[in-house]
Amino acid sequence: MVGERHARLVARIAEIDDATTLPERICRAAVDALRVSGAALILMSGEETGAVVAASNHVVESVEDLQFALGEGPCLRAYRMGAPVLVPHVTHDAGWRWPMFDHQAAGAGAAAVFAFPLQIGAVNLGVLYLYRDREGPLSQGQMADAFVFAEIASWVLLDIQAGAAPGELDGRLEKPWGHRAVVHQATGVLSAQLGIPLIEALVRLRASAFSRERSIYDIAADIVAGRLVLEL
Amino acid sequence: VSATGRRDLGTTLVELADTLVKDFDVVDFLHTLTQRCVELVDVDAAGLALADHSGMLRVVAASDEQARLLELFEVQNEEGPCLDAYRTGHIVVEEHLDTSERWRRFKEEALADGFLSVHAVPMRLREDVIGALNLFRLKPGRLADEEAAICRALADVATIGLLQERAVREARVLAEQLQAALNSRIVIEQAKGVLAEQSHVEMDVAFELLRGFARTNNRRLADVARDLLEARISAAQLSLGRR
Repeated sequence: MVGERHARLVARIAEIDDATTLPERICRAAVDALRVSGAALILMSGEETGAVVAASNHVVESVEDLQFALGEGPCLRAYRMGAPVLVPHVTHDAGWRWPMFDHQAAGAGAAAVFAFPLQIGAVNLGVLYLYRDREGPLSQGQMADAFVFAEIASWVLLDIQAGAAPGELDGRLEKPWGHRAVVHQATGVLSAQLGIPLIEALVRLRASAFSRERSIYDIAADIVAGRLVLEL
Repeated sequence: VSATGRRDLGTTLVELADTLVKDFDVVDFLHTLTQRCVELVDVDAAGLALADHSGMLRVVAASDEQARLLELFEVQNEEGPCLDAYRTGHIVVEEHLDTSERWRRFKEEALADGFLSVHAVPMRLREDVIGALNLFRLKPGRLADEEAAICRALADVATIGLLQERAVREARVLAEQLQAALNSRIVIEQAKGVLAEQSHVEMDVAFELLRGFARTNNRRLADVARDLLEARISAAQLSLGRR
């Protein structure tokens, strides 16, 4: 029954006894229970941005950064659709769904990736992202567990935000966005310089990072500092 | 209880729990619950009343129209097993309504409908009693222990469902606020970039200009940022406060 699975997974989360935050415990319990290599909780906003609130390891964080930098990948898809996105064979499917993401994720050691939406009613908050260094689908039981982990995570994130002042983001949820700020600023600068819409400016930013083989953060920092001016 | 009886209860609990997951409709859910009581347990009608925000009981569901009217009568006259179960938090049983000294007006109404005994089960979670489930029978006597246990289980499921429904409604508002707060952050950063470029200032100066304008005009920072991005305010207007 629904309640039994829920209780069992809450117990697993409680068993993670290191002095970590609750979102981090959820990620680590998910890694244990679902036998994956890494898990992350990603808050998302609008259609273009996400930030890692908690992760079981650094690899997951870089994979999410990759999706943000590329503007494509399973997390964005799961968030937009409000449904899980399952990619059991990343290399096999490479280039089919997300041309750039697939290749780079495979290069980073993700053989299978899964994204489950964090949902409260009709509102999508973000995604529970899982990756595994071994190919293959999640079992039925693991799928059911993943849904419950996503549900528990949604409530936990809301509970954290419940303490924040109206219109503000709780400090614990705000921190992960820090390093993304420069990209949004650069988007604004570029939009004003070239007289193009913001969404187009972000696409230009990504394209130039890709063509120069540099990170979007470096490009953004250069634009904000006036060291780099993109031509229309 | 027979083996089939147990399996039916299990199926019912799963069915009820399933309704909690998606598209939760409280009234439909409680109506299902009262119907299942009549199907699973040796009772002839069931009614359910919940407390509103002021603590007054309201009839929300019944297995049939007769039970609904009886519940209404009980609530309106402020006497009956349902109210006692709600007030005390304990199960209330009247095995022989015809000889009972309790609830004079309710008793007459119930007897007129042909009911000879009644049980009322409180719906509670920890200290909170949120309503009561009324079970009416055409024959006198007390429910078997197993049957009473089934009624308590059904009342518990209903309680969990209702608390979840209340929490979900609050959570939805909170989730929307969270998304709005996230969007605000991005909008503000983008506006800083636009303003820095157009007014030839550093990022932190751009932020101070946005904030100064918002405070002077008693507006929210994110709204001012959005106005700049959508060209309802110009960079020049925002920069007036400076220089």
